Amino acid sequence: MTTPLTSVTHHVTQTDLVRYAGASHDFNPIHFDESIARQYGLPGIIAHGMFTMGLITRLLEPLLVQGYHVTEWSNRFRAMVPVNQTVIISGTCEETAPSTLAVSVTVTIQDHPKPALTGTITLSRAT
Amino acid sequence: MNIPPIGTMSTPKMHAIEAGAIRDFAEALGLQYPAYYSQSQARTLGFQDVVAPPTFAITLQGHAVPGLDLPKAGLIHGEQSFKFGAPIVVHDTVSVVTQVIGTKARGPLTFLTLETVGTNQDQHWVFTSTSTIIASQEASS
Repeated sequence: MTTPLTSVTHHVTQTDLVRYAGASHDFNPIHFDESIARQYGLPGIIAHGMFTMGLITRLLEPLLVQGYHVTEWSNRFRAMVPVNQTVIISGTCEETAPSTLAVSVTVTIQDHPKPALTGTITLSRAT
Repeated sequence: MNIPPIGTMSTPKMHAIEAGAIRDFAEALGLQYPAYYSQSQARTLGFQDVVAPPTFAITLQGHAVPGLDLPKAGLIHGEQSFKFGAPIVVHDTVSVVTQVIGTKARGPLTFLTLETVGTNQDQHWVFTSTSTIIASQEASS
């Protein structure tokens, strides 16, 4: 049986990306310096792919508190997430074996039809 | 831009896992799971100490891969996957190596796949990270 997870909505600010740059030590300036981002042909500052991926952890937290932990996680970055946009993280969850869950996740930018990220996550817990 | 042959591997880089680094990372993502912040709560939840969020593993990299020279910007992170073993907890020392496992050219684009593996002080495997990075010739010029 596939059940939806409670989706997470997050408005991506420049402050978020500065904090993530510091916390992850990823100081590529396209993630916080608009003039440099434009020099590289981007429309402006874009989020780190790993920031967007990391936000998905919030979707998983209700499962973590039930004792599950992530064993595998794969995703494809399909579109850049510009700063000052709102992302919607949604997913479904299926028990594929006793104490094993498969989560299918999609991140979309509000008012954009195409996903920015799609992925699958496997979680398990001790029986 | 230069990509060395498949199998080219970095030397191991040692990472001491610190509570402050985990807290900063978890806060930057707005996470609330108590085991990312509190030793006592982490122990209640079955961990030896404060545990790292899954994607924290991206901050654990090997030393530079010999001969690998990528443009400073204009790179696209195309795909990312992780497999996780023993939990990464505070006071661990994780030894990390990175190697080239795939490379292909498609028109003006070069696809590079790097695999990064972390092993803790007890010789337990903690994670394997696989990253596909896309570089364009334009970015390398």
